[in-house]
Amino acid sequence: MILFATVMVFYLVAALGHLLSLAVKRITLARASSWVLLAAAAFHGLFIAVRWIEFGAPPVVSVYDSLGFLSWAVTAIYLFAQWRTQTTVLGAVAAPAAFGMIMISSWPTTVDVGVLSFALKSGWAVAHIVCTLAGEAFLCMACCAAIVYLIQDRLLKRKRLNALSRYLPSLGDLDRVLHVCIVSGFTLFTLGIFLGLLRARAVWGAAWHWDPKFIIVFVSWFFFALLLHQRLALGWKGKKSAVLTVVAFVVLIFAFFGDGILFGTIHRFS
Amino acid sequence: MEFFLERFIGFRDMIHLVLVGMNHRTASVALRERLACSAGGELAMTAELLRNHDIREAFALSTCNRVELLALARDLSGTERLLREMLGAGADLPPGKSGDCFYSYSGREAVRHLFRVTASLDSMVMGEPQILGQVKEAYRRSLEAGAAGLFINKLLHHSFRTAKRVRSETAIAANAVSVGSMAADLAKKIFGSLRKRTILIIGAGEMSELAAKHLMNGCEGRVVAANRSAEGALRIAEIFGGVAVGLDGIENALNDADIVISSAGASEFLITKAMVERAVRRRKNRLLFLIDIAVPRNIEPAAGSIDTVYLYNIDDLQEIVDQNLCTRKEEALAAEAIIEEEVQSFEKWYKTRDVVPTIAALRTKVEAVVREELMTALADSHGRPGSSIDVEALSRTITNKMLHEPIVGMKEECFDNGATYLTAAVRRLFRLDNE
Repeated sequence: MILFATVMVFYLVAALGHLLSLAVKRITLARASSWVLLAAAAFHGLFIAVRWIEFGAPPVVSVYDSLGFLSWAVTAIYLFAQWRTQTTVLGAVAAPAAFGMIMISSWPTTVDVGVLSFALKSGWAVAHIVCTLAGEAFLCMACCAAIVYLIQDRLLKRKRLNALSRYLPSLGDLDRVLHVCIVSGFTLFTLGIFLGLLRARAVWGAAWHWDPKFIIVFVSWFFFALLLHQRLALGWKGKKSAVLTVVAFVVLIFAFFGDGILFGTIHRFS
Repeated sequence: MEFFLERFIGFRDMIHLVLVGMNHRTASVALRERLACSAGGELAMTAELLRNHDIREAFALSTCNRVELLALARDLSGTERLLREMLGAGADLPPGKSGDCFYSYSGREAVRHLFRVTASLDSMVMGEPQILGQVKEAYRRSLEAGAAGLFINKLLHHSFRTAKRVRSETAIAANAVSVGSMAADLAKKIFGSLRKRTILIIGAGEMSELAAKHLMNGCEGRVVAANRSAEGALRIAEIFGGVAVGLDGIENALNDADIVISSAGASEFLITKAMVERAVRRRKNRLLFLIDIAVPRNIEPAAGSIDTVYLYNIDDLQEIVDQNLCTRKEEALAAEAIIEEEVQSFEKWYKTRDVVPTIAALRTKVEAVVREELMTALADSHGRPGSSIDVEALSRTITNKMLHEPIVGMKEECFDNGATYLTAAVRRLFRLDNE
């Protein structure tokens, strides 16, 4: 599909541009790459709309479709964040991540909605998927910000004010992005899980199953809940909260991809 | 300028650009003090220069670190002598003793020097931003005095453009090279925006005052000044419109402060790790930036190991400043290349500026001839069958009209002076020998 190829190319150019700008430390290049990323997001949005019309349902149900949706959401959140704060440099993490996800999503395993399992044939299921994915996109962006935060924090702590630390955003801006992403991401993610549990009760008889996917998702949800609690109640900032963000997100990635690859689960539909 | 000589001999006067000046490298502070003149001084100097009938245009720049006099005149060595005498007199030097402290340049060397000065490559702190403003101000005064003509106008505007290019294309002015601005840079890297931050200043020293000025620059922050003596604290508080506390108020002030600058003379630590730990808990882990520029140190070094606390002492800051100075020197190489390019571009303008009106006039004239003949031919063609233009006749008349004057001119020149360079010029311009 030409539209999809265009989207891929735009993501690739934006990712390379961002990485290159990190290497030469020129902010203008990063800004230009962000415009390319905006174009990629626009075309990608169009692509998703086209598929939606084709299938008559939001194209998020297969693992690969959902990855595509996730990369689009991550891009959109990044673009919004860098528009509101001075954090264009985050694109050096966000753009390659978006490109990586769309790459994987391009592997040809299109699932026809017609043969979808009963569990997914419901507005509840679609709402569950969309909420979870949007939440995951926010948490992914939070993880990007946390990684950059850790690098910048290390440079400032070691008193290395070099070209890299000058180029990276300030700790304050990074923490702001981190905070907004965690609050919105956690809210959507929680809502998504709740909808999923409701659907599970309707389809499988019980909301909770001692299933690897359920457990891992719960572990990562618990980490994020802990993180949010520490941030809101104790004002956790800095290194500790950034490290916990990354750890929680790694668990979340494991839950997302482990699906049928690393472990068997009833949460499998194709 | 030298390149003028060959081209316009016999046609017009030779004009030279002469620059005489002194700066922090060539003259002592004592001498610079005597010469450093105010805005009025710059005006007086330009006025004095213009009194000399040989000088067409003049420009004077005077800052605390340099004086530059620039003049456009016919007599190169005479003007140079005049400028040197003027500077010597201004500095109360006996005549003939000025040799070592003044430098002089002419032609493109003078252009290059002015470009380097404006781009802050010749400054004491390379890349400092004030000089461009000072040159602009001096240029404005030179305009007011009626001393700036076409040449100075073009030259100064070109130098502003060069300075802007150097600033935007190289990192020469990118990094802080003073402890104060370094602290401000670091604070921006930690907090992002410095708006509405609270700054705690401990000690009434000049260093902390300077650093605070850099930090407060356009950020509407709040200041708390702490000092052993009340009047010291009040003085600092008054400068920044803040509140004054005693040294025992530090513990409390740490609850709100985002940035602490400390430069008090004290034998023991004024801020201990335990104090900071308590404060961090009370302030719910908000980031805290501690700057300790006192020797002996005011803040316990271990405080820097707390997660959300960033502690820099004077050596840390100085080390980064030194690194930045090194970077500036590297960037200066790129800047010199830009200067060279711009000097060449200015030279090109200068060399070709006379030919531009000639080109325009020639083009207008040729167009007029062609249009007129074409109109006549069109008018004639209406009576003829098929309304066609006689192209052959048209090209013949255009050729004749176009070449009539040059041919007559060449013949006259030949008659008067023999087959001279005019014939050679025509052969060269129309490439008659190549065919």
